[in-house]
Amino acid sequence: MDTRTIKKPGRLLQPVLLLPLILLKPALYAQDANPSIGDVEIGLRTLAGDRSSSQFNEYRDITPGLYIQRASLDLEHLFQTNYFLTFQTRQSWQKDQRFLGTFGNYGKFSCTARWEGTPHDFTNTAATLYTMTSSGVLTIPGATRTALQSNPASLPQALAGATPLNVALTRKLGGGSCQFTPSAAWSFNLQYSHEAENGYRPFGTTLNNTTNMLEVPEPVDYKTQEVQAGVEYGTRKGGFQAGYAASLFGNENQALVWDNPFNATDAAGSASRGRLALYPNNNAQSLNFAGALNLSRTTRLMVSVSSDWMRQNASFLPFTINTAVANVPALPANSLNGRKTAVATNITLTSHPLARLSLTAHYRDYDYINDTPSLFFSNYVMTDSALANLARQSLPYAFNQQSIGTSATWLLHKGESVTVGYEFVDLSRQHRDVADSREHTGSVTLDLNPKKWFSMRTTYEHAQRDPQTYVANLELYPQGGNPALIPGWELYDEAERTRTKGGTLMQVDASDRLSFSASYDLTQDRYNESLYGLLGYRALESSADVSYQLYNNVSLFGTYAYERYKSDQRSRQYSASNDTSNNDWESYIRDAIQTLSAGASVSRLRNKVSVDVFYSLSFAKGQIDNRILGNPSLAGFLVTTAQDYPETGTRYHQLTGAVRYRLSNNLSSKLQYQWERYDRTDFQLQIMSPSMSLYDSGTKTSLFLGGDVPPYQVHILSVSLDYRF
Amino acid sequence: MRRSPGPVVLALLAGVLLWVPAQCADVSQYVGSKACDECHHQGYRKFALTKMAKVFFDAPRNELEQQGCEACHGPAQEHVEAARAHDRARASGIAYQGPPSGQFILRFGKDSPLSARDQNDRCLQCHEKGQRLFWQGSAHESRGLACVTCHQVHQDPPAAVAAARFQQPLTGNTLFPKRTQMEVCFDCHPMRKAQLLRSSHMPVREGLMTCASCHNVHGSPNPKLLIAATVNDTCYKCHPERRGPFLWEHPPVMENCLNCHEAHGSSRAQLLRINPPRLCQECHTSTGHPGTPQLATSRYVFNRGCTNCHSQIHGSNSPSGSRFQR
Repeated sequence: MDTRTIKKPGRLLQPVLLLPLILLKPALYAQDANPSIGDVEIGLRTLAGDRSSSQFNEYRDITPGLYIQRASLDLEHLFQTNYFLTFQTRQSWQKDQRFLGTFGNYGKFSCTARWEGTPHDFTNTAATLYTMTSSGVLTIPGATRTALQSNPASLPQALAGATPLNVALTRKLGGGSCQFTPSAAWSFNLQYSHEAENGYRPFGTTLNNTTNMLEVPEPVDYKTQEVQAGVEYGTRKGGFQAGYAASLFGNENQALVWDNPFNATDAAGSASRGRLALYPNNNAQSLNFAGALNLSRTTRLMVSVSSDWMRQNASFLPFTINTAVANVPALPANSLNGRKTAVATNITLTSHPLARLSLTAHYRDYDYINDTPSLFFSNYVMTDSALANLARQSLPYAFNQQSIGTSATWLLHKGESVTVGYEFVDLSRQHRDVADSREHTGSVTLDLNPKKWFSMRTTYEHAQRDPQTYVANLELYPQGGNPALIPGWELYDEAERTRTKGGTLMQVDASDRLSFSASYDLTQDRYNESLYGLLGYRALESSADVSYQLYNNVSLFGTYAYERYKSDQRSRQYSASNDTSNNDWESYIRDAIQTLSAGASVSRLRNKVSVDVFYSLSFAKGQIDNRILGNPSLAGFLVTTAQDYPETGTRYHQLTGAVRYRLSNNLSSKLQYQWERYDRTDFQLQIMSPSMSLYDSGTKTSLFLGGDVPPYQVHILSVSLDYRF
Repeated sequence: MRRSPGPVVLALLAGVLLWVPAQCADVSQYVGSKACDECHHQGYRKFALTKMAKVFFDAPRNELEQQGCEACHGPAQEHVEAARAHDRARASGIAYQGPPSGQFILRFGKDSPLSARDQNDRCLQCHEKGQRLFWQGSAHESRGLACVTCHQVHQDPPAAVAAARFQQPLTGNTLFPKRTQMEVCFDCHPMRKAQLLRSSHMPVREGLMTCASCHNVHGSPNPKLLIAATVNDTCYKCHPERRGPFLWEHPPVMENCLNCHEAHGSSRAQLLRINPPRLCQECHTSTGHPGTPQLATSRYVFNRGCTNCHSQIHGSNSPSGSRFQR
């Protein structure tokens, strides 16, 4: 496993590799015809502060030392022909590097090759006792297990030997595509890509019910290949497209096996190891057809049909790895033979029968067909410890969504219009609580542009979703063992819903120098027939943005956004003997987020200097308040844990100042200072350590990674040279 | 399930399309691009640097492309004549009495007398295919956006900034009036910019993704201008491991990733709308621990809440995985 050691060999050599780009110039291109065919920006960076938090380099790779920010080469009319060659790179030889090269002939063909790296750091504070000894197998030394089995309280001593690790993934994608255009009307394209995703991800596992919660670094070793081919014909009368695509996903680790550090010997009800199925290999293929025809100068018909076939047939794992569990039934099949087909059909007709009137009508059918066999499991093993003594039936969930809608826009005059729209959606599902639901949506939009410098758009939308009947589906438990159902409990994604949305966007160009915009949006969902579960949701989003050009080369800007999200949910703490509303409780969830940014930009000062300064702050606060609805003094009252959660919050500051100085016509230098600060208050993460028994005594025989995303504050100073050639 | 009428309509449409003869342009009023260069040298020079100009000037594939500048601005015979008459009058010291030359040429942008639809019509002569096949009737078309609202052909590129607010993504398309494609979108979608600054976000501000990674802003037959048929199909482009099919599927996950995730950015980990366990308890409120509020320091709450144990929440292929623990 990767430790925290960071090494960057060969950084000093990297710029040398770009020298050929510069040396290519005299051979291939006449300088007088075009003064610049490319550029390269190379710099030196130093960092100060604590950058150990994974949040700092979550998706990037900012490290001290030499770096290549970007380079490009644009060779037109190669060797006096119509061939061209372009090349671009960003963050070269860093984890988030990008390379893109294109070779082609104007109007005839172009072929592109690309290489992309994408890091994703989850946490840098983790430590683990596990070592991956073979593919997908995580082990702990026998001596450690023996010691912990005899004395679980010795976990802190054992953790002294835990290995720190960066839990992170890296994606590396290479690919190429070619597009041939033998005529302006016809084009053919081919595309191939291969992506490898490697690393570790924090992963929760459990053994023996929740006795041994064991968080492990899940080894990730994915490979995905994609192929696409397509043809297109298009003229002013219309066009059609046809394409084929295939995506093949492979996981080198089909199963995860991990040791129980607190038990070295298998027994019924007490597993020494666990095993679970990681994401299985799968593949998807699709055929797409689309066409459009201008029926007249004012009317256009557009149709698309796509069909996706998704397949998965990886071998099933046995029910358990615990050899002491007796009477384990035979598997009903060796593999799933999973087969899904999704067919999407869209038909759109748009017309402008009058100069001021636009009409659009659309029909959509999305059929998600699941032909996966439904398998009956007479019993299964729970958390590798013991038989659950429950039968389970896997269900091929499927759905069909049809929608039809229309809208009409009346142009009042240039830039001003009123639009009314209506949409009807019919959603039928298989094996879910609501077999059929219907939703009607009406909307009206008013665009106003009374002055050339002022425009405003206001929208109102109302939607009503009604399930035909709500009947809890119990097929998953064919022989009983269903969880208790509370009358009035409905899943929010299927339940009756009234949605109201309103919004306005105003843009003011007060002068050539001053512009201002503001937006306000409100969304409200009410689940009027739900007595339990999600009861309501409300979102308010507003923003203001101003920019002012003080002089021709000096501009100022500022933005502010405020968002507020609220949702209410109700539940019941249930026991078979106390199924009463006296054990009901509610939770109120509130998030408020403010985003502020401001800056100034000075360009071409004395034709030599550009200066940029900007600051941004994103400040989020979250509250989860919980309230009992019953009377604690009544007999059978259970709800003793409905307490408000501590407030959560994040603050992300970014301050950047940069000065670019032009040394000559093709050489400029840049000095940049960046300050970033990230703070967070998160009661769920900041208490995490490998041993959590101080907080929850039920975790004395559990082990975590201790993954946190701590605050950071970093100063970054860089100097760079930008050479244009 | 139901049989869709789409294939039949599509077949009929393709038949009609191939039968329709191509239209021919009237070339008598064209003067050629060199005439434009005489007066509009700056614009001509900038246009000449574009790929489009290289095709028009060096490798035209049809009569329209051969017209160069006039392919977009329309035949310029009357425009040139009026301009030359103006020049002659000025040279003779006589006040020009004729019509302004500008009224004989098609102009683009906010000050154009043409409607957005008429301006777009010029671009769509060549570009009404590829990603623009569904432009007509799309959200942006019906809201009166002109192509030149987001793209420029021969204006100055955006001023170079010393420091970038967002990392510039690697793209072959640079014909934007702003530094990055995202900043163009933020003009009308300001909240998206705010969301991308949250602690949990996709790598858009790092320049590794753009709005176009998920949306086809030029029109799509799919909801929310998505590049794939559904939200989930769009997510599977980068997360194919979650595609399944799985033995045990979690129906809300299978139907829509947005039931749990906020794709544009969240202050909760993993782009979640709400932290577990409350997220899960929006639906799961029944016997055992799902119905218990749980203390903040409980193993059912800290770290990743419910997924501390039910980690296979996107689907399990294990025979013992019906509770997404295997």
